[in-house]
Amino acid sequence: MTTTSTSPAPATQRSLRIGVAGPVGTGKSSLIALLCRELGTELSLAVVTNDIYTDEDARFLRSAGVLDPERIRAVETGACPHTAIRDDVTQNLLAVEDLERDFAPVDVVLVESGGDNLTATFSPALVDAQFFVLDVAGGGDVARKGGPGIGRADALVVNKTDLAPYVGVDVEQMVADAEHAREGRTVLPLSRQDAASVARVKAWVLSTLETFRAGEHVAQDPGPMAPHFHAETGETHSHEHAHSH
Amino acid sequence: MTVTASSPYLSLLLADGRLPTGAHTQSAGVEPALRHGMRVDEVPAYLRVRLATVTEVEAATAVVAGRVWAGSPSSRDGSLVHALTEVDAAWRVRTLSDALREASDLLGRSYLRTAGAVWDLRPLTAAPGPWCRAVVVGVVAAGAGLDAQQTARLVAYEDVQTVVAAALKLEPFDPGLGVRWAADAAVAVEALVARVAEVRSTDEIPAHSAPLVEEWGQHHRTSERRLFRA
Repeated sequence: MTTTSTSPAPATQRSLRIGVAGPVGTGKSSLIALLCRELGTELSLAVVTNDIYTDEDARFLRSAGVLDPERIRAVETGACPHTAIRDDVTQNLLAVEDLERDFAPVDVVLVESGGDNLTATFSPALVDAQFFVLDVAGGGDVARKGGPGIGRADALVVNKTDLAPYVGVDVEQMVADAEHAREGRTVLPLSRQDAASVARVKAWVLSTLETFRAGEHVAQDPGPMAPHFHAETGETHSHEHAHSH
Repeated sequence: MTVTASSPYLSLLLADGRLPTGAHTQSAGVEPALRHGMRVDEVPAYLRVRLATVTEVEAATAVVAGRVWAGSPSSRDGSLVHALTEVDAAWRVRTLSDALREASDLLGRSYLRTAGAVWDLRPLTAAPGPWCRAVVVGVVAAGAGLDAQQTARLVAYEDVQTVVAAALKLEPFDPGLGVRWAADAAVAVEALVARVAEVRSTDEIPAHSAPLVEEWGQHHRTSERRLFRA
């Protein structure tokens, strides 16, 4: 049997695909609704949702009225939300490609993961860049504990900062912990009520799109494992170790 | 079709649930069946019904598609696509539920996407489609050198495992029991293989149907909070 290698279409000729991962209830759907609201007039957007119970998130987004309902599609994951964004992304890829074809030209497709746990991150085979979403109500120490998405997603959103006083979380400390765990990668504190924070998230998407279109964006895999963490020192690093612990 | 040396191995590869074709999104109708009141201990009977009806149609379609593909190694052109279109249509007219046809089309696309990246499946990959899953599996199997029996067994095995795996997720039970059900299905699977292995043309594809399976599949498309596509 002959074999053939297929090379993907040149990156700049298709949409930028952005994943949104993070635990249940941290505000992934709200972030997507916010992005649609903020960017929907200047960009052509589409959304793929992966809710564990199909449709829930898609229906939320459709009812939010921020995007043409036809541009929002749900993909069932057979109770395997992790698999659908990581090791068998085919159904999501088909949905993304369908949207790109049906609404060409599409600038950005947002793919929402079914809220899994801290270990679920997107494969670069599915998305070019990804948000990982935490919220302050999940606890101020979550960012410090780390995980592949927290440590290495392209951007970490610390959501619902307006709730911090009510849940006893020091937002500045949480953001500083996150920045430390991420070794300088982007951290975006966000509250829907804070226009400046919304503008920063919007600006991050636009700048990523610009880099992507210039052909300079390289998709990063946050990995399936947390960056290396030294419990005794609180130091986190993701570089290769020659020595063993 | 001639069995090549690697076909037993490739047969395992294609039957493995880890083949990245999106199969984890499917329940082969067991989710709507359980929702409509089928008891989980009736899964073995459900498997027998499928193997005697819809899965036999699927397997026979795959066998014919495989023969079409294997029979024209030197003329990979429009006539081949035309012949496969006829096979596809033969499956389509035997599948009443448009929800099940759409689910099959989606699986056919993802299967072709995966296999087409590994093997040269032109002109099928270049043709517009949609192609039902049975046609795609038949072509991929023939391309991998599987004979009619191996192809039919592949289709039947995957159906059995899809049902059992989905049932385990929906109403968990001793997984050993699920393996036993799959093992016990061997009798019905081999009977199916014997029935369809000699099917040579679209006219000979059986036209069984399982009205409840189709009706449940139809309902499932609009049901809320489902875990599986179909």
